[in-house]
Amino acid sequence: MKIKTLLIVFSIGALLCILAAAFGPALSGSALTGLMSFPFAQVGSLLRAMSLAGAFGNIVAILLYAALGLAPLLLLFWRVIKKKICLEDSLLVGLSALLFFMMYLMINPALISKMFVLGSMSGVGKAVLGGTFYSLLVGYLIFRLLRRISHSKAAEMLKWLQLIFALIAAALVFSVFYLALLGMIGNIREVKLANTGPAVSLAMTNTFIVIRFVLQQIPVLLSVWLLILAIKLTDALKQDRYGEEAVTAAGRLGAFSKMTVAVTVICSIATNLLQLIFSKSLHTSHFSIQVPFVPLALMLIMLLLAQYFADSSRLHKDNQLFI
Amino acid sequence: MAIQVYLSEVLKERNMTSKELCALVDITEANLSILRSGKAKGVRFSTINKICYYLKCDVGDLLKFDGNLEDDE
Repeated sequence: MKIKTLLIVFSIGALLCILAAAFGPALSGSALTGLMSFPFAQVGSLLRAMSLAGAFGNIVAILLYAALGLAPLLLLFWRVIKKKICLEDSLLVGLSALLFFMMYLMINPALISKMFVLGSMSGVGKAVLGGTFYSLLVGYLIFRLLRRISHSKAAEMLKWLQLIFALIAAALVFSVFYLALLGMIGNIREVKLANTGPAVSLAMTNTFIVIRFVLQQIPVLLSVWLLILAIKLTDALKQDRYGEEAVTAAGRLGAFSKMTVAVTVICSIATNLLQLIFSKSLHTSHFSIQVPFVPLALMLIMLLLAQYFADSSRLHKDNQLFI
Repeated sequence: MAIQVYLSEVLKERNMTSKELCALVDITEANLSILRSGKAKGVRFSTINKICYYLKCDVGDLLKFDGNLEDDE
């Protein structure tokens, strides 16, 4: 995996997230529910419109509905023919049944209100249905991935590991530059709305909200870099697992995870201390104690791995001198 | 090194090149070079067995002790 490309993609992603958080619409509940039911709600509406358009449209809509519902079963059938069937493929039957049920309700949204307690908000019902489908789909894919990984060789496992590291890093970039940034902007807005008096100065409060955001996100950004270093390590392992480069990369990763733990602790202390010092002029406060268990455990694993790689490399070199 | 390797001498006596021996014993020329130069940390029984077999010699013809004690590195 090319680190430069990854960094460019993350930078562009971060920039887009910043723009979306600053100028885009606020993340509402209906947007989230809409996202979860996408594209099923839209397909349901389309099939409903086709069905109501006339006899021909109705037949086409029924055929499309059947094709959609049968898609997972067709995949199951193909896997049976190819003799690639395994236990987790039984989930395809569930997916098919769920698709039939879900799409029926999406086509007839009036039925959703009868089925769910929060029925009056049909968006919630659609989101529940979409969420159930996506969880089943993701579950199926994970089970497939588990089987594939357990039967693959080290090189392929490293490839999967790189992909997972890259996905986690991307999710962290999104969480910092969109979710957290949006949260910070929302926080500033809330404080402004709650303090409308003419004599109230919010400059200090707003500055502190920004400082708190920066201090809280620094450890997350360091974790992103930690993941990039982990990708570098897997790259080195792919080339030569006993090589000097792998030993150096593991050592660098161990040292960086140590620094990440230290910075996480310092940022947490700094946030709370600053809040305490300036508490008289702040109109909002939020105390939290961050115990960096995960980075701490990661640091220990990395330091152990660094030692392990160094030992392996030495043993390998020794072994090369046995003719 | 306290253990001296006399592989070059035995090869010369048998009129055999190191390349030919490598092909017979199935080791790389680089590894044979390490062995000949005395830089090898050890020789596997299977390797010494093959070398002795193809060179028709004894282990003592290839390796000799110079009487000194040497510490491990």
